[in-house]
Amino acid sequence: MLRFLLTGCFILTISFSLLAQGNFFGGIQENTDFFIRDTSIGAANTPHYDNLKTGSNVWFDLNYANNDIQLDAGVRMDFFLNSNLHNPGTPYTALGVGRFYVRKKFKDLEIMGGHFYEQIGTGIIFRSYEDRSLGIDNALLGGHIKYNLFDKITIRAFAGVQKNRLKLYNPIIQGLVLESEVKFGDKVQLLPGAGVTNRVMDQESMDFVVGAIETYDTSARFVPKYNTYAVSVYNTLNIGKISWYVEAAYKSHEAIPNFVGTLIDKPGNVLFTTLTYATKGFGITGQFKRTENFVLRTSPNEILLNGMISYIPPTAKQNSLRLLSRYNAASQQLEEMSYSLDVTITPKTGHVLNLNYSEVRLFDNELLFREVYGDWEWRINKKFRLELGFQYLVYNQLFYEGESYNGVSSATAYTPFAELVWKINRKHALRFEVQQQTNDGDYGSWVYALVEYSIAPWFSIAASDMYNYDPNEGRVSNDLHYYSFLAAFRKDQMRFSAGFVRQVAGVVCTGGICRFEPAFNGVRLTFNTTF
Amino acid sequence: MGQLSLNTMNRFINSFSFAFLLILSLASCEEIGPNIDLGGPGRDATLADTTYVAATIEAPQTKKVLLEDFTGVRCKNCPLGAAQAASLLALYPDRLVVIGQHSQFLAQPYDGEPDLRTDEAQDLEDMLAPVLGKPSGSIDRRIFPGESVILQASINKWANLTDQALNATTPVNLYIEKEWDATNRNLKVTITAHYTETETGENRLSVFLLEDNIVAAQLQPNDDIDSNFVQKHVLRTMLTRFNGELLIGDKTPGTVFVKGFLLEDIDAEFNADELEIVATVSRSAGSFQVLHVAETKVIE
Repeated sequence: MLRFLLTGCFILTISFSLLAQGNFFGGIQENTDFFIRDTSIGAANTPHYDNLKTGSNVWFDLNYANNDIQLDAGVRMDFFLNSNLHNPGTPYTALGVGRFYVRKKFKDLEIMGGHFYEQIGTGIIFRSYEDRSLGIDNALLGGHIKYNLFDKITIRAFAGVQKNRLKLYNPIIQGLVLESEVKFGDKVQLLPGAGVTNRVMDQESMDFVVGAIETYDTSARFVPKYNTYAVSVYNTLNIGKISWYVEAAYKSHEAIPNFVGTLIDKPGNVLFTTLTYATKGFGITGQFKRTENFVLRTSPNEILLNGMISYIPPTAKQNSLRLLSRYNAASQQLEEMSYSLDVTITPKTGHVLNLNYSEVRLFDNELLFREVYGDWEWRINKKFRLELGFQYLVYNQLFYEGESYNGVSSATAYTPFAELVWKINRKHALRFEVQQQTNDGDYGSWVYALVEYSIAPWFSIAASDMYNYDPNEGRVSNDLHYYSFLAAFRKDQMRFSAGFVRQVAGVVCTGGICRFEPAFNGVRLTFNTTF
Repeated sequence: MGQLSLNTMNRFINSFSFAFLLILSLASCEEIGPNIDLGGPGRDATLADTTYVAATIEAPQTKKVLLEDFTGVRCKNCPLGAAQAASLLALYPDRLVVIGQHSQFLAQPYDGEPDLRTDEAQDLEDMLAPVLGKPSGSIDRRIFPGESVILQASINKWANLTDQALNATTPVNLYIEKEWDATNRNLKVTITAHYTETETGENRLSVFLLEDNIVAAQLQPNDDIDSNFVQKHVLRTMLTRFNGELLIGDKTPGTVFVKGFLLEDIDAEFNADELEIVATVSRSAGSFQVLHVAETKVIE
């Protein structure tokens, strides 16, 4: 007994002394929605509006890092309490460990166990990441090693199973990545890389696939694969002011759902490239992407944002202003040809001109998305900054959302906009936004205005209204206001915000990954801090 | 171009090539696909194959339980399993249906003896795996509370698990109609499944042909070989695939599936007087649970 106690004391002493050499850090993020029923905008008839009234998400993470022993570890607790995050409209409650990991470095070798995030190339054959705004956290639970084989070659290998909220998907995913850096003189640099992933479907997932295939006509049946392999080769070439990235990916044939959800046995491929030229006062970027049958998930039984292994980057511009971001070209997995051209010109100090053209089509040339965008930023003086712009956009709503109104399958929108920032003094500022959108489809035409007053760095308050002044009667019958009031307070590492939000239903995207979010009406509180 | 860069490039290419050759060699290993019904020549058009909604929803039948005894003639403890199955059958003659599944393990026939092994029994054993030994019994293909496997190698548990299974109800009523053509030894079977409760997942219909009372040499617990051992309810073949035929469509109260099956030129070694037809409806994908079972003799 004495020996046991002494051993325990020794281990505790060693542990405390080791812990004392490192650092603890972490953070907490909390979002709470209070739902206020409003049938006029469709914010009704779900459990949140009818019964539950609140929904919360909390992430609390605590990490430890010790550089002396090259060790770090962490744990994150996730709390979803009648959450509206993952599948808006359906409350979800679960509490538990959302992530844990331990990582140790041994000279050129780094090993990690637990939940990890990884990306191969742009993510076409594998990307595990977290995007809390869309409820995405597809970390793998398993093992990850990283080894510097020679000075400039990095090998990463991993294997695990993907998170399914606080549970796990059963299929096993494994991957191998090689990346390098090669320089030819001072001006030429190559960043080549290659990766391969393998997904092995579990028997239960396969049983569902088999069950689905056996419902088809015999001519459409096939023997599905447990294993699928995806290979990607990519390279960045930097020559002076030119940078060229190209990535080609291929995946072996397996059961994938076609446009109507029927399983077909097809291989897939993606070609993605970006060419950039940048010099003083001028920058131009061209992008091209071709995607064919590149559906890569934990199993073909998963849909929407569930079980995603592949992330196909978007080529279209990512807008942030309210009306300009109403329509986005979600990356397609089955079929897509897209390209974009982006130009930035700085003719003289204080003036920046941004121009963009994007287009997305199917292989038969059917237009899915087109955007023509231009803005002019003018720093008038130290107190005023003005931005004026215009967006022309065609969005095939029937294709992306399966909906059309008044026979308009593709909404065409013309959106002029302006933003004025008035720095009243070193701390106080006012910001105004005005946008107007003429739209022949969807909800019809809008006007949006925002005014924000901020006292840097600790306080800001904003009021906005998005007014559907010319509603499309095929979808809505009344001209409705969607107004919001928001106040945010910041002190040191802590930020707190509270707002009343009235938000129209629509597709919300981040980086080409999109989902439909129903209308929201209520109060939103957010709190986050790091330590 | 520096020498170091060239070396690095070559090393990268070599490492990359090696890794990919390794992966490609793995990828080139052809996997064995899942058991799937690719359709074959198609169903005989003269056989029933219809689905309709009945005007009246039937009252549920009393649930029957399926005990599948995975056994073998060279398995010394299997007579104990057969005896346990017989005891349970005597206890619940109208509620229990037994199938003797002679899968490959310990089932090679003795010289001059009939071969009771079937591919279907082996496929079912693989489907219901893991198998911890023989005899192993599956009761309604369920994993019961407190258990971790379907196939129970402890025959002492069979009675208790059968009791538990008998407490369940069935969402589907089953009827078997048969026509026996003694001249050509053709058997036509029509199964009617009438749903009385909603089933949301996949259901499969299986039809088995058993032969009762086959005399075949059997290894005994004392290591003797009993050449006059009577093998009970032995699976001879199936009229569906081993895992059944998918019942396609909604399965709500009143939904009726009628499926016809034809087995022609049945092996002359099978004693027609001892042939039995068993039909089951079971779940698939995520659970193999047998929802109901029906049986009848080919010649009554």
